[in-house]
Amino acid sequence: MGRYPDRHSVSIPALWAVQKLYGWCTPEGIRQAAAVMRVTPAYLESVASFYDLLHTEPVGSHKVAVCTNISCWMRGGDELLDAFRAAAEGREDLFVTGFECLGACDIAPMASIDERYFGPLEPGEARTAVDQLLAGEDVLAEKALAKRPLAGDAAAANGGDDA
Amino acid sequence: MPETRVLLEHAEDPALRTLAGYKRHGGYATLEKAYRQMEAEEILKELEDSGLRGRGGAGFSMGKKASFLPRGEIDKYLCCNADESEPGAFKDRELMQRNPHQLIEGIAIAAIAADAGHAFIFIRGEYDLQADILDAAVAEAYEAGYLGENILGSHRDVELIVHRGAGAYICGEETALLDALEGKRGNPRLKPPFPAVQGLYGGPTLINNVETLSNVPRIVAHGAEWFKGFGTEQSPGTKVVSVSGGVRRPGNYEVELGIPTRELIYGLAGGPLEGREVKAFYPGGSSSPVLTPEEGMDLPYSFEAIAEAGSMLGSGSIIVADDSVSIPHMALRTARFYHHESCGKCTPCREGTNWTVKMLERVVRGEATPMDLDIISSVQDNIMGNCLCVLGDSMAMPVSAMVRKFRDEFEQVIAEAGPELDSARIAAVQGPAETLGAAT
Repeated sequence: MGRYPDRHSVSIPALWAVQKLYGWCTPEGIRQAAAVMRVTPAYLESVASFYDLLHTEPVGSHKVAVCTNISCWMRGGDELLDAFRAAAEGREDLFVTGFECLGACDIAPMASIDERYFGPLEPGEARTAVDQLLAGEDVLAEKALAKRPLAGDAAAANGGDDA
Repeated sequence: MPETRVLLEHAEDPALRTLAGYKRHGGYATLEKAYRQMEAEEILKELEDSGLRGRGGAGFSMGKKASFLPRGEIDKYLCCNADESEPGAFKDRELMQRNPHQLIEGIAIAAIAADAGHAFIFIRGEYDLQADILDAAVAEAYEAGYLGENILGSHRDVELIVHRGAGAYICGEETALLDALEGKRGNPRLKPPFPAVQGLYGGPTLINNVETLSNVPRIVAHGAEWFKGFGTEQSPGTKVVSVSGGVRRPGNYEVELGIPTRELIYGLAGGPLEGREVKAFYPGGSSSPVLTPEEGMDLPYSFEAIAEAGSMLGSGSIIVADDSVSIPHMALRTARFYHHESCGKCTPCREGTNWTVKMLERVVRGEATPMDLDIISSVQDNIMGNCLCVLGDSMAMPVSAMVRKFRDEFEQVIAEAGPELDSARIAAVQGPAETLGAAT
């Protein structure tokens, strides 16, 4: 908080911290953060409710967000979301949601699984991903965005043909 | 035509992420020169002369924007807008993930020009991996003395904080970003006053996109003339273009501005998938009016040429719709996004996005009449130019372009489902005849 010129600036980082500790922005956690920041809990609640990534209701400890925006939709984002929802059936510690553009249209259709990006995914891979995630294993290692080369380099490596 | 990699030069080297790797490729030499030998005016002049245009969407001259900041003893701020959330755009993600130090160096140099002591990178919360990478890079830069107090003995301080957002497209709007950074809900402010005069914490603030700031080190190192050697007269430089949708090789490609659009879509991105044809494309993210291949494929990919064709280069993100895509459905997806992301502060946007979604849902369900298309268009006309920020316009522009250019398809969708639904609807309305009679 001391790093910011104004202590109010810390509200989003504070809510992130609450969510990290409790799994979601609990009233108790918000009260604690508000006390430290010297603002009212209602103020922090109003901030929390504005942002899609801050949950004001309990959610599962693992989170999957499937992009259903334009580029992913064209490539089967809706089907991928359905597959994740089906795979998550009966597994309460898993929170699956559709999401607006996650900024990874190059790997469409894609999903953010516990804050990391994976794609392009087939609906059939949803169950594998969920099983790996809940078993605490590495998820779909070969589909991780972090490991992808630049598009132009991948094309050169594949002789320009990697549709 | 191959790529022209300037910002993405050496990006294939994973070590570029580290300070040592970045320095091996010549990194931070410009920062050292700037802090040891250069005055704010020199840097500002170089940036202005280079003609570098903002890469976030508006395309405004970066140097000019920086020159708007008042001088003198007053706390000034620099914000890097890394809240890339526009559907179709994913270039900043690539730049931050592969070359975080280039951005940090750009921020530190731009901070001299803006005379800003506090700098922030406001990064969207979804980009967790990239924020982690930036955090690590910023820590390294502090360690090396490129950030912090009295940088390289220059008596200049720059505190840089990586600030994570929490999921709201609107925070990419510069004044909403400021509100979010001040710890509020991300609502846009009325302009003027512009952030250059009154921005973060009420102080003069320079806000620039990731790609814009990433250009700064090389412009200061090689000079404005070198930079103008790339691109066109009005759109100098290179641009990282995100190409996605119905193409064989979606991805980020760095090219000189002004290359033929066809080269991007067919050459670098490999053209449409097997057996498909391009039906339309967004030339600059989901808020740009769509172009048909006849209108846009042979245009030079530059700010001026795309604007002349009635659209915009925006953030430089091409989304290709092939002939399997239903335009009314694509219009609905687009509108739904803006409806979801509207902050609700001003009426034309909040209500306009809501009604546009409702009407487009009627269209795709086959419950609309051709007259509804005129109403959709008129709603868009009433949104444009009437909102606090450009979010409303960002929906109105592509939706009205789609209705205008693909009206036949909209009418066909309506007609195909029309007759049965019409009778069903009449039956539903007339259903309980007594009630209807009683009401009148």
